[in-house]
Amino acid sequence: MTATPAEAPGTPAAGAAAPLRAVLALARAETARMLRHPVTAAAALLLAGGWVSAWFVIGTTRYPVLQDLDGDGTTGVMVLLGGAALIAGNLAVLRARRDATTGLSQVLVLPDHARTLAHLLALLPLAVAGGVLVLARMAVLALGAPAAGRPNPYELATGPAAVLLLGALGVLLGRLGRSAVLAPLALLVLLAGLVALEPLAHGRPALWLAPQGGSALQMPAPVSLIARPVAAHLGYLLGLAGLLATAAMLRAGARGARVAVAGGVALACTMAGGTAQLSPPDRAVALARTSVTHHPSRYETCRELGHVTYCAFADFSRWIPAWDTVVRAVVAQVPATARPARLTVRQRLAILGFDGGIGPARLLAAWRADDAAAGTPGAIGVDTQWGDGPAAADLAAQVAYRLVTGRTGGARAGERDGVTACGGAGVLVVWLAGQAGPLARTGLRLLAEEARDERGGVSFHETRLFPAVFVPAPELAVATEALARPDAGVAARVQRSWATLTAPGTNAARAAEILGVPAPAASTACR
Amino acid sequence: MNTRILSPLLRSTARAITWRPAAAGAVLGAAILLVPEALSARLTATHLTTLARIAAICVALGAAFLLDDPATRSTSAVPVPRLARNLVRAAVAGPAVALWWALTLGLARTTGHHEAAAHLPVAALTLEAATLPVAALALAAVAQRRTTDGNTGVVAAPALLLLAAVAWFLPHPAALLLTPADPGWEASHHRWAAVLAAALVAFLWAGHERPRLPRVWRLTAVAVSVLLVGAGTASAFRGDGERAAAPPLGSVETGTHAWEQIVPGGECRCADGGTFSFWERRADPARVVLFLNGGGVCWDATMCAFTSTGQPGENAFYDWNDQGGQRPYDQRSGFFDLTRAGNPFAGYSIIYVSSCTGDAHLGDVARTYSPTLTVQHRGYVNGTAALAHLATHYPDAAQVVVIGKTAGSIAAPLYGGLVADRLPHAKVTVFGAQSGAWPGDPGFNAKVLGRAWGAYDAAPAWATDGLTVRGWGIPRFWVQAARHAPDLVLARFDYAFDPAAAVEATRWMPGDPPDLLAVIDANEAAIEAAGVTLHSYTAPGAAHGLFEFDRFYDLEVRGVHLVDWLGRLTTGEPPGDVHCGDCRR
Repeated sequence: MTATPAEAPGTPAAGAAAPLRAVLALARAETARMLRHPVTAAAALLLAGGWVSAWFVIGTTRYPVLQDLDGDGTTGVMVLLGGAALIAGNLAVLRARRDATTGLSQVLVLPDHARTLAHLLALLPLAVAGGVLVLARMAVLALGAPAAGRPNPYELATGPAAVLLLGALGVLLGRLGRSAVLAPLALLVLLAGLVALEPLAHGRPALWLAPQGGSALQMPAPVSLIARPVAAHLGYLLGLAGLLATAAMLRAGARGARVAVAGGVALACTMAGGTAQLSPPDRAVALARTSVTHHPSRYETCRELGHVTYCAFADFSRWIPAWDTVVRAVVAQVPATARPARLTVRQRLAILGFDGGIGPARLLAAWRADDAAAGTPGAIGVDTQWGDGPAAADLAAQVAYRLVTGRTGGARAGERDGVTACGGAGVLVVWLAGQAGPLARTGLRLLAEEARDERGGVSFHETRLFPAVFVPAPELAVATEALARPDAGVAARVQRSWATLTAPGTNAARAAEILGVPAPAASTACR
Repeated sequence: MNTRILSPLLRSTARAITWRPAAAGAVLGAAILLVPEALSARLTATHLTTLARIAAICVALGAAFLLDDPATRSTSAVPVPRLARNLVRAAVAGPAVALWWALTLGLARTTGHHEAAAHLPVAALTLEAATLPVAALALAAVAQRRTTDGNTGVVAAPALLLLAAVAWFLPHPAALLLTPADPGWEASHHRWAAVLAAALVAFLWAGHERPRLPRVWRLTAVAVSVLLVGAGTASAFRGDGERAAAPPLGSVETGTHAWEQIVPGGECRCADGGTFSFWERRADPARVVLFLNGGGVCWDATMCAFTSTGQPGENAFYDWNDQGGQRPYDQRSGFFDLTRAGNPFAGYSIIYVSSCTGDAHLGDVARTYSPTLTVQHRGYVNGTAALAHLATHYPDAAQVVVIGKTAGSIAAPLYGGLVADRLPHAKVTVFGAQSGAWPGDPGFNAKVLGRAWGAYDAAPAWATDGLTVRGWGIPRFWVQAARHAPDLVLARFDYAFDPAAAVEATRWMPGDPPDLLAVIDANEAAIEAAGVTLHSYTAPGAAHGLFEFDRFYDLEVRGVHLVDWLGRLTTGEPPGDVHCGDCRR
C-alpha cells in the first residue's frame, strides 16, 4: 500500500495540457492497478470458468441460440466484473485515506476532482476487457457449435456498460463515505435486486429500470420476435453511469461548464433511454409473434433429407442435421416395409404469451390446421431448444410412435398425458427412442424419473408444452430391460416380430416374451 | 488473564471496535430480507432463502471489520496475546450478531404475509449465517498477520465476497448454495458445518503470534471448536428434520385450502423406525373425511425389505417410510380435485393417512423377519393418532366419512367404529374401496393379521369379541364394526376383476387363478348373512385406480353414476346396491 497518487508522473501545472497529461498518466497507473487487482482477476476467472463449465454441463449450450445467450452472459459480467469494478474502484479512491496521505495529496499537482476523473477513466479499460470476454465467448459459440440466430450487439454491450455503472458507483461511494464496507454492501443490494425484483415487478416493464433489465423469454425465439428494448436500456445504463460519475466529480469539487454539460448529457441519456425502454413492444411485433406461433409453416423453410422433410425457422436451420441424426437412427431399426413414405418434422414456437391469448387447447388446434394447410398433416413437432437428453428423447419417441402406429401422437384437450401407447406399441416406442443415441438414452432416463406420478410411466412431449405420447409403467419397464440387453439381439427380434409387436392385442407381457426379457411385475389395464 | 482485567478489557474493547460497518450491514441486511417480503406475496421459499443468505452476508461483511485496529503498531508490545484480543472482540460482537439474526429471521417468519416465510428452514439457514461471520473473522485474522496498519476489513470483506462467489459456482456434488427443495439440502449443510469448523480453526490459528500457545491450549481449542460445531449441527438438524418433512414450499395449496403436514410423534413411526406423518386439509369443521390411503402390505423378508425401487422409501410391495407413497397435494384429479363442483366431498375437511408400515393400518408390533430386517408394523398406532387428531380438532363434526383406498380400506370399518366411539353425535359412513376380494381365510388370518402384524392384539376388544385369531378375518371386520356401532353406514366399492387390489393374497383365495368377482360376491354375502347391511357398488372390468383419476366422475354402472351414489350414501337415504351385469367388459 505504498503507491500513492504522489507517484503519478507530471510536472507542476503550467497550462491546461499538463493537468490533462497528468490525469491520463494517473488513469494509466490506476488502470494497471485495477486490472491487476486480485478481486478483478478472480472475478474474470470465475466468469470465464462459469462459461467454460456451462459448455460441458449444459447440453443446450452445444446448440446455442445466440439471441438467447447474448443476454444470458450480461448478468454474469455485471455481477462479477461489475462487482470487481465497484470494489476495486472504491478501494482505489479510499487508498489515500487508508494510508493517511489525504493531507499529502493537497500539495500535489492534481486536485481532488482531477484524481477522481482519473479513477473514473481507469474504469474504461476494465469495461473494454469485459467486452472482449463477451465477444470471445460469442465467437466460440458461433464458430465452435451449430449455432442458431445471431447476437444483438446492444445486448452484448450491456454487460460492459454495467461495469462502467458499478465502477462509477464505487468511485462515488469512495467520495461519499470513508468506510470500505459501503461498496460490498452496495453489491449485495444489487444482488438482492436480482433475486427479488422479478417477482416484485411481476412481468411489468418497470423491471427494465433495474440494471439487469427485463426478464428473458422462457424459450428461445427467432430474432425478429424478441423485441427487447436493449438499445434504450444500454442508453439508460450509460446515462446512469454518467450521472454517478458527474456526482462523484461534483463531490470532489469539480465545477464549471464541462461538468454541467456532462451531467446534462447523462441526464438526457438516462431520461430518454429510461422512458423508451418502458414502452411496450410494437404492435407489429405482437402480431408477428401471434402469427408465427399459430402458423409456423408460413415462416419456415423446409429441407428434405431422405424420406424426411424438416421445416425450421430460418434462424434454426443449422440444427436440421442434428434432428436428422436422431430420426434416422430410429427409422433404421424399423423393417423396411414399415417405413412411411413421407415424414415431416416441424419446428414450433411454444412460448405462452406469444399465442395471442387463445390458450393451449386452441393453440394445438391451430397447429393441426396449420399442418393441414401446409400439406403436411400429422407433422411431428420440435421446439426451439436442442442439445439436451430430453429434447432428443421427445423427438425420437414421437417418430417412433408414428412408425409403430402410423399415427402422430398428440394431446387431446383436457388430457394430461397425450396418447397412451399400450402393450407392444408402447414397448417399441421407448425401445426405438433408446436407439437414437446416448443422448436420447440419458433423456429417457431423465424423463422417466421426472414424470414419475402415481402410475409411473413416461410422457414424451411435442415441444415442452404439450405431452404427445404416454407410455405406462409396465411397457416402460419391459423397454428398459430390453435397452439394457445387447442391441443386436433385441434388434433382430424386433425386425422378426414387428407385425406381432405392433398388433393392438399384444400386451406388455407378450412383448417381453418376444423380446426375451422378464415380464413386468404388475400389468395394469391399458386403454 | 484473570477476571479482574476481563471487565475493563471487555469495556475498552467494545469501545475500540469499529461498529459502523457491522451496524450498516445489519440495517441493510434486515431491509434486504424484510422489505421485499413485505412488498410482495409472490416470493417463494427459494427467493426468501436467497434473500436471507444475502442478509447474512451483509452482517458478515460488517464482521470483517471487527478486528480493525488503528493502534495495531503499538499493541504488539502489550502483554495480552493477539488471539486473546481477537477472541474478546469476537465475544463482544457475537451476541449482538446472534440477536440481530434471531430478530430478523423472527420478523421475517411472523410478518410475512405468505406461507413460504413461516416455513423457512431456520436451523439450516442459521448454520449458514453463523458460518459467514466466522469466515469473515478468520479472513480478517489472516489479514492481521499480513498488514501492519490494522486495516483488516479492507482485505477480508472483498475476500469474503469472493469466497461467496466461489461457493455460488460450486458444482452439485460439492454445492453449498442449494434451494430448500433440493434433495442434497441436508448433505450440503454437512459441508457448511465443515466450513464452519475450518473457519473456526483458521481464526484460532491465525490469531496467535510467534510465541505459540502451549500445545495443550491449541489442542483444547481445536477439540472444543470441533465439538461445538458438531453438537450444534446435530441439534440444528434434529429441529429441521421435523420441519423438513413439510413439503418443499411449506403448505401446499389445493384450491383455496392448503394441505398441512402433521407429525404426531409419540409412539408413531414408519416401518423403518422413521418419523410418521399425516396430512390435514382444513375446510368445513362439520364434515370430515378420514382418508385411509393404501401404501401396500408385506409380511415376509422379501416383501418387507427396505429396498427402494424408483422412489426412496418404497419397494415394489409397500412404502416403508414417510418419503414413500403418494402425497395428497400431488394428486389433483378425481377425488383430490377438491374444488370441482361435482365432487361429493368438495368442502369437506380431510385427514389423509398413508400407510408406511405395510400392515394396512392394523398392526402394533416390531417383527424381525431376518437378522438384518426388523419392521415396525405400527399402523394401528399411526392411524389412531390421526383419529385422535380428528376427534380433538373436529369435536362438532356432524358427518364423518371414513374412506379406505385399496389396502387402506381393509381397516376402514374398524376405524369407522372407532370414530363412532369418539364422536357419538356424528353420522359416520364407511366407504371401503378395492378390498372386497381380500379373503377370510383362517391361514391368512393367523399368519398375517395375527402373527406378522399383531393386529389381533392391537385391535379394540369389541372388534375381536368372541373370535379366535383364525376366525377374525377381513370380511369379519365389517360385521364386528356393525355390531359395535349399529348406526354406521357401511359401503364398499370394487372393480370386478381388479388384478392389483388383492394380488398379495391370491394364494389364500379359492381357485387357481381365483375368480375375483366370485370372491367379492361371496365375501359380501357372508357379511350380509350376519345381519349387516353393506351397500355395494361393483363396477365391471379389470381397472385398478379410482380416487386419483377423473374416472371417479365418469364411472357409471347400470345408469348410476358412482359420485351420485356416494352423494346419496353420505347425505341422504342410502342407495341400493349397484352390480355390473356384464362384469367382464
